[in-house]
Amino acid sequence: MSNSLLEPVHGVSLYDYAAAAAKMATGIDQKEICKTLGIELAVFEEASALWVARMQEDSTFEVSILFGQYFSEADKHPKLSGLQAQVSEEGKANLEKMKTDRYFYEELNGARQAAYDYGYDGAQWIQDNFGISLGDFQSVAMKWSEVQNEEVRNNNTDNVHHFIDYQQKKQEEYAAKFASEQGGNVADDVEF
Amino acid sequence: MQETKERFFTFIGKLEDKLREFTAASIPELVELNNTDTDQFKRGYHRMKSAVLGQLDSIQKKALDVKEEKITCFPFPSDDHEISKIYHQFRNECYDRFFQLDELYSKCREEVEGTHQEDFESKYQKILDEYETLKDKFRCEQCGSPVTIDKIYFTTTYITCPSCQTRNTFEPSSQAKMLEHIGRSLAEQRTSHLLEEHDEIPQKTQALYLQRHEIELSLIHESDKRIIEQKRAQMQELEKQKVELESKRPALYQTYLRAMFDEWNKINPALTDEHEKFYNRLLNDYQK
Repeated sequence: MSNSLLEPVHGVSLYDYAAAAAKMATGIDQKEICKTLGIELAVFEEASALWVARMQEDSTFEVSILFGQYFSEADKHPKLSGLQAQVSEEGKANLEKMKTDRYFYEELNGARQAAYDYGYDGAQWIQDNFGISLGDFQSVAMKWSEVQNEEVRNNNTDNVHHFIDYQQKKQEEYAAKFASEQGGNVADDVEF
Repeated sequence: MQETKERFFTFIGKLEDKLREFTAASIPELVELNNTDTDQFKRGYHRMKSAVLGQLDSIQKKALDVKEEKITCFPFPSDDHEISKIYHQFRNECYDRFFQLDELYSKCREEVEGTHQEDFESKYQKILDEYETLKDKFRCEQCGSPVTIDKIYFTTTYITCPSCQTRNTFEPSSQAKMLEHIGRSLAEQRTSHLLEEHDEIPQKTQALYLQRHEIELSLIHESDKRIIEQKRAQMQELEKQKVELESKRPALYQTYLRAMFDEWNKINPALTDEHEKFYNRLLNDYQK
């Protein structure tokens, strides 16, 4: 390990810290996570504060980049993979679909943004309507983001634009739906 | 084209009225909600702000869509040079009108964003008050003796009982756990005037450059040697001031950064060593 900033803090590795953050974002209690990791809350909280400090100190961004990667791989963590938040059958099916079907992922991304634009808590709206928690959503988002970065590196910009356009189209569809639920947009009466 | 232009200008004017009216009506409500939302993360306020911005976006998008459909794609015979010239004139005028709306839209967004003000002083004060109340109330879980909380802890901590040496676990409140995060924001807020001094320099040097440039242009048709000498001296003086200002900039940034980190260290001394590493990193990044 060449970068000393990647060494564990009080026995808590970056993978432990990132996977724990991902699990917490799915609604799992921090104390439950510490118990599974076999460390005390005091140790974990101090280590967490120090991992944040390491990311701030690291001008190469290596720590932050790896954090993102590990966050999306929380379900492969040797100790934490078994910890699963209670998810409905529908939620599980939607989550699986979002992992494999990029169109579905882009649709939910557009829907979430449209929800925010109409005053809803977008993350909560996804949870209520598709049964996917914020943590799971972010975890899948990071995976697709890596796919997109790879496409950019390979100059496959057509594909990138195709999915950006698709997301935009879906966002507009959901925006129209929310607008209709709320009685329209403020400038609906202005016509060319 | 003339008729389309007039309709477009009227349409844009009506959308601008909507932007102004909607922003003016939303701002007092947002300010009120920002002041009264007791949620730690002001979620109610943020949801409403997001909805207001969403409506501003929808107005701007409506203008953009019509610009594309009715102006950019206006049908005309492209092989006719005269009509082509008229079309470009028509298109430029309509685009300029759209950009006026776009500027207003940006201004409205800034005004809406400007309603977000977090009172970090008061959040910090609440943590200090809570500490004063709690520091002498903690009891050893083994022998019941009082155990003084010697400082503000922002993470769960072990504290040894002075009477029976039992190791107690002290878990701070959720607001105390925010100390490190609030500390940075508060330190930035307290030292923002120093950052402004640094940030204003490019604008000041640009003004000096323009002044110098104007004098330089006035020399083109100047033949009076005495005036030429005077103006050259003025230009030299302006250049000197500009160079001096530019050379001060790194030192001003360092002054700001040092003051900000000193404040942060005062608020949360437990992470002083880590803050210092962050300080060095930011300073190195700046000097690169």
